[in-house]
Amino acid sequence: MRFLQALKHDIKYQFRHGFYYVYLVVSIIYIAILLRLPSEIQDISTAFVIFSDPAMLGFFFVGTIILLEKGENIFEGLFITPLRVKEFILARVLSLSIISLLTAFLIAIIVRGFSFNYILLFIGLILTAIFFTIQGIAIAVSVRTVNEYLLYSIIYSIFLVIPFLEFLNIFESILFYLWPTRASLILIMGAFTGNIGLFEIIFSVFIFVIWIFIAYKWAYSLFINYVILKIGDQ
Amino acid sequence: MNDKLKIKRKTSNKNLENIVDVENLSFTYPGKNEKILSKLNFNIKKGEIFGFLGPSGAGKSTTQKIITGILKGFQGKVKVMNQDISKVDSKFYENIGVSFEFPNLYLRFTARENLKYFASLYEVETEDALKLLGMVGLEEAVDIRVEEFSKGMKMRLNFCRALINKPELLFLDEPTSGLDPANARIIKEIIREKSRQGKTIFLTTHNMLTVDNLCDRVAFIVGGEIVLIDTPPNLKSTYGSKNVEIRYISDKDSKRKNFKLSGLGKNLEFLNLLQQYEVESIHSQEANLEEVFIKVTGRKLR
Ligand SMILES: Nc1ncnc2c1ncn2[C@@H]1O[C@H](COP(=O)(O)OP(=O)(O)OP(=O)(O)O)[C@@H](O)[C@H]1O
Ligand SMILES: [Mg+2]
Repeated sequence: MRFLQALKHDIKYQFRHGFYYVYLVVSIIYIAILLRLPSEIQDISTAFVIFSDPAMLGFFFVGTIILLEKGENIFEGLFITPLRVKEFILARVLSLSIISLLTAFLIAIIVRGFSFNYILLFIGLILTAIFFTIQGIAIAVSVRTVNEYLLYSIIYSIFLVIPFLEFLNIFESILFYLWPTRASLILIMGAFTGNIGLFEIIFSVFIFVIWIFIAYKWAYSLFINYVILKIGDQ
Repeated sequence: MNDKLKIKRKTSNKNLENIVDVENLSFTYPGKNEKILSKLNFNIKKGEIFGFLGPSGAGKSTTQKIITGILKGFQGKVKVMNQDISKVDSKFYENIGVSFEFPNLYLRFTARENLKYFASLYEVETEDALKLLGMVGLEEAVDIRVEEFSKGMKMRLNFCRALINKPELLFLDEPTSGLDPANARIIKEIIREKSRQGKTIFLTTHNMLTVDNLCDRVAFIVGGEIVLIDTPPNLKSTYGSKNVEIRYISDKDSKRKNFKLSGLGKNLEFLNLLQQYEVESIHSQEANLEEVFIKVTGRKLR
């Protein structure tokens, strides 16, 4: 199956380019810091770290990979095969989600033992990873240089971290409930504190699914315009 | 365009099946005013090597993008392997191969790994990676990462990538660019062999020599219009002139002069030259396609 081949190749590509090692090193640093924190703030800190893992690392790694692939001119060769854009995006999203899940569970288990809600963490993580990887793809295909990517990423991150104001007790708004990053934090935080109701879970997942749908449509159309229609343009 | 020029078609293989059939193809990029292609008409027969030749910006890549199903929203009719190109899905790509001017390869992967991955994306039977690599003289480099390859090696591997799915229709953009003469010869021989096996080849190039060596027919495209289509020998005999270059010594200096080959025996200037001066050499020169192109289109190729 094409999708499985693309997934296998993605994972191999990420190994060859050292992404798995980078994740491992970053995770070890996170674990070392988290283990030294006083237990009152360990829950929240672990949740933040685990949130930032797929959200930040996944986002930057997918950007880096796509810019590398552009440098190799790979898309021209890839999309004159039967491989479809949706299969490619799906494989890319899944391959990066796998690293995120592996490292997040590694961190969670070492720092917290087995005292957290696995299912909730899994749901929160996978949705976060899917959303941010798709965003990363959308931005990376439409830029030409690493600097452009970083610039857009910063603007974009500012928008996304707005609901953090609430968690840090700086500012509150009902609108924050619509933010994907809030949904993500609620789910991941809930997995560690247990402080989350069924309604909140369902609502967060629902918000996330809508965001992922919008992000996917956006990324797909940027992919067609910036990659597929440009095949053979040089 | 010069209306004295008539589009000529090869008639000898009229009864062969059309692999590509383009009728009144016009195209404008979305949001642009300028028409990039206007009313292109041509067809490519099974087993034919069809050259597409024109200066930069003429619309070669745009035409190729339409025939390979990438660009939609054109006017006219385009049929490829008996399918309406505006309606094909990803299955269409099972039977075509495309190599672009610049290689498309995973640099951190070996030659073998690259071909194996691309092969895995097809449902149709694929070529053996080692056999292909051997054909282009890369047998020693099978397990070397592409980042260590020279430009020529990458071009040859990229050529193999286009052949991996045993395509019925092969699109090649400047297939010999960046290759030394020996390797260019090998690649040309493979292209000829594919054509003998009944595969059809659409070749885009600036290089007249490649066209002259390889193509059964060539289309000249300028400013989005096809000016003419004919076989290289016909073009040369119709538009090219065969010349004779004579070198002689005059006032202790070596000079040269060109004469038309036809009617040379009655050319007084030529005959006088032979009698009056010490002749160093006389060479006859083939008409070349470059000259034909300039004559027909009024444009240089580059
Ligand atoms: N994506 C695009 N959007 C708008 N205009 C385009 C686009 N791609 C190409 N063009 C224009 O279409 C015309 C034909 O371009 P095309 O790339 O088909 O030429 P070409 O014959 O392949 O040239 P070259 O020999 O340089 O490859 C050019 O004027 C070019 O500027
Ligand atoms: Mg071109």
